[in-house]
Amino acid sequence: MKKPDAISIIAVGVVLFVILGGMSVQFGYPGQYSAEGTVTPTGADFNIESSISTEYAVVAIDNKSEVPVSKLYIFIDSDYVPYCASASTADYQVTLFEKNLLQKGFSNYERVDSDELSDLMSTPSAVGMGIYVPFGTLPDTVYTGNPSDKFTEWTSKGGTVYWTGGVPGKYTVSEGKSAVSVSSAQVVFPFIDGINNGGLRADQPADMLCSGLSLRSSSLKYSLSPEYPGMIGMGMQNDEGRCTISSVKVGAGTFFLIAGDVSSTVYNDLSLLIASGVTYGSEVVSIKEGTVKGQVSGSLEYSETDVSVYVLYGGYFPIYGKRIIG
Amino acid sequence: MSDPTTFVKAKAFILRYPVLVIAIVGIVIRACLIPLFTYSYDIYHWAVTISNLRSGEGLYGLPGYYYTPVWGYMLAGIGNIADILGIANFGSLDPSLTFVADSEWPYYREMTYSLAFTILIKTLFTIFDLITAYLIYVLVKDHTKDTKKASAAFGLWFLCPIVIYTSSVHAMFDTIAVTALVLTLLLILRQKYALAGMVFAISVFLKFFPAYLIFILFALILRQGQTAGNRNKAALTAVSGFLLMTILIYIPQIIDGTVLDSFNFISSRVGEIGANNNGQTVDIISTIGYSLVITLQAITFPILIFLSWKIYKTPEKDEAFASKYMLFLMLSSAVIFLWTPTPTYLMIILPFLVYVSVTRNDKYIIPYILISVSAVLYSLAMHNYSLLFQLYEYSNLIPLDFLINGIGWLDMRMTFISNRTIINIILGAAETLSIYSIYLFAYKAHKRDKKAVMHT
Repeated sequence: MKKPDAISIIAVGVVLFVILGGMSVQFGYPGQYSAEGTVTPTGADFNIESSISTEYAVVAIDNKSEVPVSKLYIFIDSDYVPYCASASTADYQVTLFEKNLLQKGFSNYERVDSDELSDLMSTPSAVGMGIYVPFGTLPDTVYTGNPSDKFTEWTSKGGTVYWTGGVPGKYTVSEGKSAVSVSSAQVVFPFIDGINNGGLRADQPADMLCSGLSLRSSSLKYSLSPEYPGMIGMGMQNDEGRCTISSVKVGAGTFFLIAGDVSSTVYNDLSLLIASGVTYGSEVVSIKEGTVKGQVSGSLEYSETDVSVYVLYGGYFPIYGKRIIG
Repeated sequence: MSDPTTFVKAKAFILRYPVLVIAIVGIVIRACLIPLFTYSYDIYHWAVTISNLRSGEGLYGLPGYYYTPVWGYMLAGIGNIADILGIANFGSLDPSLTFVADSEWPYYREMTYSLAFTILIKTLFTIFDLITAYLIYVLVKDHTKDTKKASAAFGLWFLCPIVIYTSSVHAMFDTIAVTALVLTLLLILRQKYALAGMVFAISVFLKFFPAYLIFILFALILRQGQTAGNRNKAALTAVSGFLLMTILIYIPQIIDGTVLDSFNFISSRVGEIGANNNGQTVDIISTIGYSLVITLQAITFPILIFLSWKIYKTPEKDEAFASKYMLFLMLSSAVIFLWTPTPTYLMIILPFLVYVSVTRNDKYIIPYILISVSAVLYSLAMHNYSLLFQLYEYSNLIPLDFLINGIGWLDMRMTFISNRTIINIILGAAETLSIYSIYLFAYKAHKRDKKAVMHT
């Protein structure tokens, strides 16, 4: 038999490299991951497992008696097109956000259209429920710019709003029409006074949540003024105290505003916020970080009682997340 | 004073093992650059792609990977190696670097990368640089039987500034596409057409530009056939190899329905024409640039077909044919870039330019120098201060103010365009002229040859 020459061997090597890589994509990924936790008298014990060598963070977050969101409703309706996106773009973006949620371990979400959103507003209690408004625009079924609109009533029932893509309350949209600007949105959303319309950038962590959850967004466009009474900022901040995540209490409920135009970074941070169970005023009380391949067990020590414990693998390149307590 | 016998011994060693010495020098240069300087943008996407794979989203489930799947498969392999080596940390965000997000230049990242991850990625590119150097060595040696010329060609590739920069600093995978292209040529010359077709598919689905050379590669396949039957069989075998590899590459995308996603980079680039209406000069220039690239295709393809036809019909045989073929291949690879390419793209020209410089006409060393130097300068201008982020992160050598002021100066507008745009235009033009210098030298050589023929 003729001996193969070096060129053929290299060629076969390159071909095999590609084929094996393709097979690896198909059969070698994703890794196997799991995480469990139990409450102890001094805090929590955790047991985490990963088949792939990766970094991890186990973060204990004090929720200050607030109830973390366990069910999320995402408003999207192709007949009510937001001011900053087409119907198809909106659908694509929401799909990306949903994938981010799943990656971070939060699967209890569903899309709602304008009618379903309106029905949702009629529930007697909204505690533990969250609504995500992705593109800074609400349908006229729940919001027209009046203080008596359904949407404003809902937060007073203890619901949590997550808002991205613009100034809260500035746009409303009717079925089949273009979104229109609301002239005095601050009547309904007083906290938007002093909102930043762009040009500022966060350059330092606002709290331990930032590094604990590997939050990445730095845009301060649409960030709330730190002067607003009761405004609590999270994520990254600038010298002024403006933060990438602004939160205010609205009645019994909470309004989270994630700064910046919608992007992968914003979706990453928001999905982490929701999946980890962050609430108004949340603070990190304990954190353990390291690398895992196989199994790692450990404990977190804290004295607070309303605590969520969240596990994140991959750090700034996240691959898996799970809320193991809370 | 150093012992003169040591010097003599060293000289003798270099003369005896020039390729080994060149390889060691090239590796040492790369080893120095790899941990110190990294362009922060592309490597970010390699890390994101591996993490997306690890989270079960495949190559195209979440944003981050914008190429055809071949490089993604290689990244999957790199991810596996990272796992075996216990590389858990890929990189992190440095909040003090977030100012780059406000720059006119959208290709900065406020990230720095772990040394282990950086070294892993760039080591792969270095290996491919070395393989390509070896392939060029074989190509020259096969045709000339001259080890000195082959060694020179090895060195001109492996020590070429833009080749070193692309693998050790930019961390871009163009070198792998070039490896596959040169490998394709060697396999065709060895009449291993099925394997040639397969490797060509890898080259094309890595960087697409090798696809422009399909006409001239076919000319070679057809020239090598003695009879019409042979020629048809050879062509069919090569095409079958290409199709087989294409199917193998795309099976995962066919299964999960993401074939179109893998061509996003074309639509996104073409989509940028007229889409960037932010009024930024850089956007306007890129819009004009993309339109120009599309327009120039009307000239590029006819020239490529003409060159392929001419070489197919040329009466020269054996060594004379091989020499002329390589000249035409070099010209074809240069014709792809009648526009100003991203510097890494033009690496596709270099193996053939090196070949022609070493074997046919050493005057081509001038375009070689012009291209490699202008391409590095253009890259440095585009990547500028972001190359120092690693040093800033891991040492106290670079003050933050230096980075902020530097990028601020580049963004500064004296008139209606920024300093950055002025520098990029100048260096981009220099790069384009350096590519055009190949045509000038080819024209001069052609005139000289014609004169010589007339005299005889």
